[in-house]
Amino acid sequence: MRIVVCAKHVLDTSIPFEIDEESKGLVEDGLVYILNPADRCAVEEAVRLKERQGSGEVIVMTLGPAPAQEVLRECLTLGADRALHLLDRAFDDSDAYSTGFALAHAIEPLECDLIFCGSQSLDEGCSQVGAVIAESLDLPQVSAVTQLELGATQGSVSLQRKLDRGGREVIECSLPAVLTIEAGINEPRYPSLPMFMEALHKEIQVVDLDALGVRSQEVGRRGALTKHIGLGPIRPRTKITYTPESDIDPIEALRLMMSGQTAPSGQQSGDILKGEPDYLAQQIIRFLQQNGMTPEANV
Amino acid sequence: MSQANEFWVVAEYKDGELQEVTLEMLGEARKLADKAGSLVGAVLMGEGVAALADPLAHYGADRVLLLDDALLAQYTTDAYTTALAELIQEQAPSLVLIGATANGKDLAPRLAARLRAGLATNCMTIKLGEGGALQMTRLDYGAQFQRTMVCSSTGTQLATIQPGVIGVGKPDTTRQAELTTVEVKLDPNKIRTKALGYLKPDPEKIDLTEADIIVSGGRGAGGPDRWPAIEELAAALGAAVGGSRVAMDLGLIPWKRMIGISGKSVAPKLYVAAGISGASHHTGGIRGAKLVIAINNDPAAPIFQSADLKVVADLREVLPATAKRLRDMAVSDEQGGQQ
Ligand SMILES: Cc1cc2nc3c(=O)[nH]c(=O)nc-3n(C[C@H](O)[C@H](O)[C@H](O)COP(=O)(O)OP(=O)(O)OC[C@H]3O[C@@H](n4cnc5c(N)ncnc54)[C@H](O)[C@@H]3O)c2cc1C
Repeated sequence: MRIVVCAKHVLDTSIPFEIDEESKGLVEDGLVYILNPADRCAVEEAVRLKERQGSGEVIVMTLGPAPAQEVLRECLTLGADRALHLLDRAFDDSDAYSTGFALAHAIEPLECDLIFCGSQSLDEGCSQVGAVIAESLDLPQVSAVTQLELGATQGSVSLQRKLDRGGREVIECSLPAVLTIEAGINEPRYPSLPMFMEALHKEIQVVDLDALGVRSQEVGRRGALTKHIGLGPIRPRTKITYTPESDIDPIEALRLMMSGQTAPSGQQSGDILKGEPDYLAQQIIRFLQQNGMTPEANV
Repeated sequence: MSQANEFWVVAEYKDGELQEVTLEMLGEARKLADKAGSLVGAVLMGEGVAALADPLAHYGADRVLLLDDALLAQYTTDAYTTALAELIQEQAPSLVLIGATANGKDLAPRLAARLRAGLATNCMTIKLGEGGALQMTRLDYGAQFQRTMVCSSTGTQLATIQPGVIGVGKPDTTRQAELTTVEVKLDPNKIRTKALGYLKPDPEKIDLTEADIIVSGGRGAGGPDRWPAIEELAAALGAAVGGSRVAMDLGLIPWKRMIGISGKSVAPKLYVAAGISGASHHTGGIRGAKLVIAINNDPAAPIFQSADLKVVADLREVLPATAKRLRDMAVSDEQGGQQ
């Protein structure tokens, strides 16, 4: 089985940034780049899959400027077999679409069974690249994968994918496929010294525009479908709220209340409950019922 | 027949009810359409969901495009992308809004790639810029800054909207929408994933940021005669257990379950704080909670300022009493049989 993992060199967002007023970009000084956490989990998952099968190949790939090579080296120490670095001035200022497009072209000739991406990048978090690759290669996709097993039938994988509010979907997908891997699917290993040593001998192949075989207007800034026009401090919008009027349908009013759009009348201010435990318990239940929060209302 | 430059919302629903983010997007699309002198279209996909056309109209849709098909009964990337892409190609709306939900985040980038349309994800606001270009803002760099972007593609533009940011506008129950049934031609062989089941969240394992109900304890709930009351109520409510910094220091909860500015920021529908004083370090992590019940024996505890229901009592008494009532209700419901 051959697995391609796309990894990204991202800004460590735990460090405070400053905006450069002139360029409207970040002040470059002191920025720290790391391997995107979800991508690290994707590499780990690929290596584990290969280990479980006893054979196979894990290829990591990145598109980015020269320093992005560091993440490839790191992925190689984590157990990937070889690496491809899409590096060319023509790839500068790619957006998610032109990044995915270029990666897809590099992946196509590799004839792999699975393609992993991290489900979200730490810095921008657009979660788009996986879907662009899948569309470019006409492959199925499953996003936010939290569990992965090879399927009962050959040529499929059986997965769990993250839904809203803690739910999971059990899903089967035919191969080849693109999966975006959720951070937390596994606990990535710490590389040992022998793993570091071994990685030094592994190959990082540089792929430029010519080698990729695409035209310069299809990649980078020229191939992008979106454009950044500003970066600034956060100005949160005012959330719409209003007090329900008496003419509104009671069910509607309750839903609005539950969604936090209005204050439940009477309880927001004043109203402190005191008394016997049993009376208080009764009042708490009443409050839960009024707000549709008792367990049976919730199943 | 089709109106150019419409603003569309892809409707999402659960258990027969529209999701909150769908209502928020309708309000936003309505504002944009009014400014641009255009119409709001809502795309409703599924099987037997026509009844949702009314609420879509109440919250702002001028027309509802109904795609009713057995192959759309359950979300799959392939079916939803194909059905929507064909419709968008045919009718060329200027903007399509999709909720940044689990399914929306899967669908939007695939759809954008197929249409070769620009997509801005997790947006907070959308503005009509000069010459009708849409400007979207989103949080960037670990939510430290906000980024404004535009689509450089011509034709339809796509955006996913962060739930819970815009707020739900006032419904107008007299509004009506024109209902258009769209013919769906999907090939089942081209749907390459198969949904086999849904796993309900397990309150004991769930990440607190995903939990619907959280029961949280602090120093006041410390000690062997007290903490079990927290767990008892959590079990009765089907809630996840969390706690304050002190609860973690006392070894009652692991770090992953500490709530506050140096722990998790949570957004449950219901947050119960028992024996927690309500330091700003703690309440900073519960701003997203929709309802807060505070239980504390000190009537002056600051936690009451953040609470919707304020209960001045000893948690050792009131928590078990509440849990017992909840369990009794569950039993009598079961005995009541199928209602
Ligand atoms: C930089 C910094 C970061 C911090 N980050 C966090 C954070 O992320 N999260 C966090 O929680 N804290 C954080 N803290 C700590 C925070 O300031 C408070 O010290 C902490 O939240 C207090 O925890 P508590 O409410 O459990 O305890 P206390 O403040 O001691 O409150 C205990 C409460 O229990 C009540 N009580 C006692 N007995 C009973 C009873 N029988 N029945 C009912 N009520 C009873 C008392 O009236 C009291 O109000 C941080 C502090 C600093 C300095």
